[in-house]
Amino acid sequence: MTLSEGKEILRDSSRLWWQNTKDFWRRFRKHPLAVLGLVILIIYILMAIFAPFIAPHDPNKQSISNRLLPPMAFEGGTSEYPLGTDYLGRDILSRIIYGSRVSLLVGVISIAISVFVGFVLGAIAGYYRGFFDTVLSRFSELLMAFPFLIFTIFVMAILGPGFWNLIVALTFKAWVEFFRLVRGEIMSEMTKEYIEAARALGRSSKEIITLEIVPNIFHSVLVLATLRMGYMIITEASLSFLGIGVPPRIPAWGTMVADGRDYILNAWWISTLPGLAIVILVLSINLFGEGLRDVLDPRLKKD
Amino acid sequence: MLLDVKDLRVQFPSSRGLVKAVNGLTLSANKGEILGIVGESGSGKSMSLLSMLRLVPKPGEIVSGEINFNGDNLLKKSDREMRMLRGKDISMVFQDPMTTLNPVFPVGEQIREALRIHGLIKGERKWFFSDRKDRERERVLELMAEVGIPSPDLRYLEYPHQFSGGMQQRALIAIALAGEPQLLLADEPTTALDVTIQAQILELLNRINEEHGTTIILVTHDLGVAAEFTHRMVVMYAGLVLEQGPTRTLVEEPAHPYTQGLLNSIPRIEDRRKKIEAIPGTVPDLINMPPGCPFHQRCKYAKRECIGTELEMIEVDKGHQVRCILYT
Amino acid sequence: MKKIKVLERILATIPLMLGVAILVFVFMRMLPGDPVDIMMGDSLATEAEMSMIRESMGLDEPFGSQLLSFLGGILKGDLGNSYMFNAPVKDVILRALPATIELALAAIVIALLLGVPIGILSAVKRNSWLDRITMGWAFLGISMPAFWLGLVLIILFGVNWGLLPTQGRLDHFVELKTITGIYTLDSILTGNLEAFKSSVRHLLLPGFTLGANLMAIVARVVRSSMIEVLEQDYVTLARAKGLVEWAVVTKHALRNALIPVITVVGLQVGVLLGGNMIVEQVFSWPGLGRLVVDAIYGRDYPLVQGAVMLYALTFVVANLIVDILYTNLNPKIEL
Repeated sequence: MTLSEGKEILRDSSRLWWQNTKDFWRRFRKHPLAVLGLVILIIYILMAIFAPFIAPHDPNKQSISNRLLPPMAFEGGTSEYPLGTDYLGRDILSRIIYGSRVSLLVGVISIAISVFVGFVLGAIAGYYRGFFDTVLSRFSELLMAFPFLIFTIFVMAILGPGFWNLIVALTFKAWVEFFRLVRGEIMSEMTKEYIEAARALGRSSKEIITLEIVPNIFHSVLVLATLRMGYMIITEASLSFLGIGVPPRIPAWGTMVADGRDYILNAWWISTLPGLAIVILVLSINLFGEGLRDVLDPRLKKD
Repeated sequence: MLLDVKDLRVQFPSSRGLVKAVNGLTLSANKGEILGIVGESGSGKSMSLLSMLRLVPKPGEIVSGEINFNGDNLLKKSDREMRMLRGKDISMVFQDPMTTLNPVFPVGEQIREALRIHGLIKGERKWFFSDRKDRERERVLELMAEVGIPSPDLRYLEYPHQFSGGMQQRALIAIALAGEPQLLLADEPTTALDVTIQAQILELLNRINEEHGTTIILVTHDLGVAAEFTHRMVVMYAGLVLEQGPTRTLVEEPAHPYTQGLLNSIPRIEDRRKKIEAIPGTVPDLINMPPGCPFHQRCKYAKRECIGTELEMIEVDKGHQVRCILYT
Repeated sequence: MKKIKVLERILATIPLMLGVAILVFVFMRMLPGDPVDIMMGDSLATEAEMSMIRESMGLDEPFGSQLLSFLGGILKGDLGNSYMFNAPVKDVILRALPATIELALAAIVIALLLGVPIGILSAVKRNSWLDRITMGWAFLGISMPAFWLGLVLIILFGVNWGLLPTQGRLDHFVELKTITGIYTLDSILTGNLEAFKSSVRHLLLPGFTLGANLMAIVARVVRSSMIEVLEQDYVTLARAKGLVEWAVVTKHALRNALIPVITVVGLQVGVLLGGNMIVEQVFSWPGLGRLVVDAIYGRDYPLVQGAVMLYALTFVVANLIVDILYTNLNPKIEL
């Protein structure tokens, strides 16, 4: 291969990539709700990154004189605390803004680790089969015998509250679904003719996995990852609500909802507003995920 | 005349525009005859049949025309009246038996349902229980035997997937016969079946026609089938009738270039020297139909006048009509 | 044939449950610190007393024999003692179980009773405003944490409108003789109308909260599978037979459309079991879920361990039942 040929191939492939991206956008735009979901998701991400600049108050600053203030739209509320204050006089808006950090970080990190572990193990198990595959498959079946939240609660009960403990507890079972997806897809891809062709051309198995198979199943994994992320965030919030998620001093939405439980008779906003933040975030992730599925992987449509 | 269809039009809205699936269909069927409707796929044959039961799938709808059955316009009937007719006076046999029987119910029960819906079998009270169900079962076994399903009492409770394709189609014919209909609509009843089974099913339909005097409308894309099993034939193209007449006449002296083309594209054993000619081109787009003869783009006799002239059917012989500029 | 296959399936859960027990045991051994320390908590036990307890619990034996005696105990129904209640774990769990079963059944009933008709209606009236609204709600339903929905319902129905009770299982002034521990059933058995009304009213909010997610999923699955089924030839045949439309939908279409729903419900049982912990917490429902959370706070590990294994067993059995149901609904499948 001459240098100019190589350059040409590179240019072609980058043009192809660009073409695919443009094609993706053209189709994705046809799902207005999915676009809305993406926009809201981006707003949340920006909120989490720039929390110190956006939040009007220190999320942990207590102000006894301003306890239990209602949101500004209600009688007795002030514009200084747009969403009101909690029983310690902390600003709810600021705590919600900071709380997005926990939810998004937990969601992204736990999904990323689960995808990585599931992908690598699934690819190896699906490609080489044998003893390794048998052991992993049995183990994954074992983990599947536990309901997700129960298992996570169990692990958290042993590990105790903490951000990284939470990540461990969530990923301990979540990787299984990606493992099974990737393993199954690889096993079905292996029977297809283009793999035979690649083998006949003398490609090594590592090349076949990374260059031929992975791009083909990447879409399915991406879609599943998006759709599972909302569930991870809900699980994190549920654990924090039970008091066994992130430590209480970190502002997290689940903790905030739990904090407000004792005040629902006279201060409904403490519990409901952080919960609403969860609902909107998860809703937007799910909308985005469904749009992604329609565009990338219509096969997955069958739940 | 049992059935008289006048200027029937069925349209489907689609993202590109209105699909004119049936575009001014006029035909009639006499009592006791087998009428063939022949045409390529996409010529609106199936849709025409479904319109006769008023079962055009949404979002399609019948936009105009008349369907007179025993002198009553079906399009003017209420939904209830129409329902009373379906399965009793007019029955239908579908194209693909594999997907037409409901997979979750035993075959015998599906036949019995056809009897029960219209209350065709009356029961007698014995103590507290009516023996209607038993009598219905007896009748189902008779029907199964009549359509040639062997050992019906054993197969009554079997599920559709335990039946072969040919047996499934027989069961569907039994369902259609349950109401002792005057008119039987058969939509490509043999297309999904093996060649050897095809002949058996067609023989069965023929026998039903002879023994019960049931009028049958047989829709097929296979001119050979139509030539062998029908009394009269209607050739459809792009939702429109191009030629109709007695089957023998149409086969021996086809008038329309399209019918001639169809005949030439059938391989014949007895005449091997004759070259098989396929008709070039494809069925026109049903959304942007050119005005005039819909066949002109593929017709070897096409003239400039073919475009834009809307022709009526022209009688070339007694009972033999054609829609072509060559005969004006 | 089918019966043998079903039996095989049932037998296959035995090694699975054995694995579950081993996994739980291994996890419990990974607890930081000495179980006896944790068990004794702040009490001032002497070193000699501690080692005596250790010996009585078999903690000084090697890991393998500990595991064996643990598994042997399970077979005999012995799950150890709860520190908090100072009673066998089995008894503590059995006492809390009826309340949890009642709540879970209520949730499933509510979810199916609302979800299936909503799904059918949406499919039949596809793309109508009704379809859009119900599917919008269904989408919201799967994006909503149960604890938040529960609190919102408490605020609306309990605090603001005062329509429904929000805590516990029975009004305090109602007396009920318990037989099964499932109050609605007990009140029927004893002919106690007042208790029946009270227990049903108490079930509504937690049942709906727990079932909301399942309801949303059922509605979505019923809709999509119904839409697919309504286009099938056998539905056209049912119409061509002269069947009335509602019978076409509820008999010919629904039976087919429900087959995938069964699978989805089975998968969701796990979510339901997890949600049960949250919902019991929110509505102060004295069931297993609440017990487990209390046990976690109280570091009552034998109780946590027993409950987790029971949850896993329930999940496995539920999936088994779903498999069998699925086979019976779908004549084509022979397991």
